Amino acid sequence: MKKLLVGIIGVLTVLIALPLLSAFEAHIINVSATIENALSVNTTALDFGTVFPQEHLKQPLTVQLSNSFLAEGRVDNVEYFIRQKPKCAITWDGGQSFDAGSTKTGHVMAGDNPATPAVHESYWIDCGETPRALDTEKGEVWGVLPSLCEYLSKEAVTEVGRSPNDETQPSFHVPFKIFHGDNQSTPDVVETDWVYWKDTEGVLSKTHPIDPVDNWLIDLAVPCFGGHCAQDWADFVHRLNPAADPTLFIQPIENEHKVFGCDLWVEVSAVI
Amino acid sequence: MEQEQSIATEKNKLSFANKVILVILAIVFIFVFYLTLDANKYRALVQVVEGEGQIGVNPTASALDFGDLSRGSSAVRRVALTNGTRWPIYVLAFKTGNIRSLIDIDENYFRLEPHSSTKIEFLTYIPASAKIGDKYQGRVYLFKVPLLF
Repeated sequence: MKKLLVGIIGVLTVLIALPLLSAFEAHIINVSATIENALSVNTTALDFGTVFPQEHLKQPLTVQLSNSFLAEGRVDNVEYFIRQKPKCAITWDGGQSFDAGSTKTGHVMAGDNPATPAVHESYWIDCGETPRALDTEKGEVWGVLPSLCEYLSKEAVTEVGRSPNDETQPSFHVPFKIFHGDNQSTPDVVETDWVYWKDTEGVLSKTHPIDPVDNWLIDLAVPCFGGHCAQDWADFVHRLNPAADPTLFIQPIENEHKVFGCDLWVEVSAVI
Repeated sequence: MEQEQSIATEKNKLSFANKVILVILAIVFIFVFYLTLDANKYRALVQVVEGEGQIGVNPTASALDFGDLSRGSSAVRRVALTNGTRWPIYVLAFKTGNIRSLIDIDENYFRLEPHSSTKIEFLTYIPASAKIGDKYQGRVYLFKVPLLF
């Protein structure tokens, strides 16, 4: 009888102590872990293959609400943007061949690269660790690919034309810029340099208006290379982007025949 | 008869060392039980869809839902972690279910200093071998162990 009583008291003590510990944790030991209302998706490879200067090629990209989101009744709209980031890869043959299965997104870091003290940069691209061991005999190198981002357009289309609630970004633009000083839009953080991204915004909606799918066309306007540009290069650029300066988008001749790359990320900015 | 009962009672009594061990075991049990109860438990899921360049998003905070992804694409979800206490905490994340092998955690088994915050990134990648229509599901457990120093 005495043992039973002791046992019951023990169990009751634990049962009482746990909610007390929980309350203690909630009010005094303030540790929180929350899932952010955000999602970043790196698209599958949109392979344009071997291309020629001033070619204009198109690839589709579909962004939609997932089945699990449509099944939920709580939320309605999702605001997102498409961001272009540098692509890192293992290359050989002087950058003319690459391992498509071992690529990573490069992180744009504002400021001077501490690893290159002899050179002063306004930004640098951090590719991180190589995803596999390099075959040095083959001449493999891990690094950032020449950028294709400037030459990719993003246009949201519907059966009757352009989507009314999504932005359009023509080819021949600068995918990001580095600004010096503090970014006023992030008052919680004090920066000396920061990155401004030229994003393309889109909206998905379950109701009012019903827009659960955005069909994007990703166009590649192939650049020409220094000294080898056709006479109508400026017309080609202005036809696609009247505001662009054609001279800024001519690639150096040493990049001819190289593999170019750009990682497209779809990032959710708000759930309403 | 009385003498036999007295000997049996003497034998049933715990020694001081055993009592100390019992108390320590009880404290360890309650501590582990508390950590398990306090751990954040998130449902993790992703569905494989057909075609290239197909992305279905579900960014709600109710689960680590990576949405509908086609083969070869990847998605990142982030968990914001804040330590508002005066003590450091040790953070451990574990994955279960068939989604376990598809999720990479960028930072795991680390110490979070007092009054500091961090973000843990959970990256999932849909391999070429994934079957169209398959749902990968599981759970992610986030343990936060208080440290004294």
